[in-house]
Amino acid sequence: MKSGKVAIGGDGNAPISWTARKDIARFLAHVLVHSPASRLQNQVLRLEGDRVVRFLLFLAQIRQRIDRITRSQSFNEIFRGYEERTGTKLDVTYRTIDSLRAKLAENAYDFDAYLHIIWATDGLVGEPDNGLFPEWNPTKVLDILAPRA
Amino acid sequence: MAALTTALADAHVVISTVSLMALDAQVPVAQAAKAAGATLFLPSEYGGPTDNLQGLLGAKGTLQDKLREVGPPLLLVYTGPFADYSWSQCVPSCMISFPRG
Repeated sequence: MKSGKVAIGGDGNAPISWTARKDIARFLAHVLVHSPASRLQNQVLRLEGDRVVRFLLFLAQIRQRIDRITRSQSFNEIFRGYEERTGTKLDVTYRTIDSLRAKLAENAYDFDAYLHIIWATDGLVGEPDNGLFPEWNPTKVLDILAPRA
Repeated sequence: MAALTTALADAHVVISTVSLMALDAQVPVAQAAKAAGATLFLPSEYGGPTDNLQGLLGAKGTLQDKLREVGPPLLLVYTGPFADYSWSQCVPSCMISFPRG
């Protein structure tokens, strides 16, 4: 990012769930102590560190659609935020999903192509369980990337 | 195996954070965790959902069945990519920033 040049897969608008490691640790420490065994054993926890707003549960369907758009950070949202905060203009290269798939076909261990395909097509963890730790307050991507002084 | 079980002796919950290269090592760890009496095992997920995934990270998903067979009940933690690792100014290994100028 310092060079001003970035390259990602797809069109950059796909929503992606991001979580910082120390926030994962804090969340796990909390739920492992406070949640009942029934919520933990043979269960799944979906964490989404970067998010914007949470609506009420009974607005479930509408909420899911709006939340999906507003809360998860797509690459373009992150780049826009970075440009606004730092005044640096980024030169973004968008690599098509097809070109990434071709790379993966050539080399099945191309981890970079593999990850960017996932991030461009299926980057969300699913309905988050953030509510299990109401005070979680995880770090936002933009605050990691371009912390306010 | 005995050594692992002893090492995990008082653990209620065993959390694995091994890298992709060492995923299979989790099988004996899960077995030892169960033998030691742990009631919960967290395999090294911390990414996108892997239960039905193909390709490089799909190994995490297929491993889950094996872990269920031999270990304590699982807790799968899906978090998306690491925000701090991906976005800190770690230019050499950032998967997002390249080509490097």
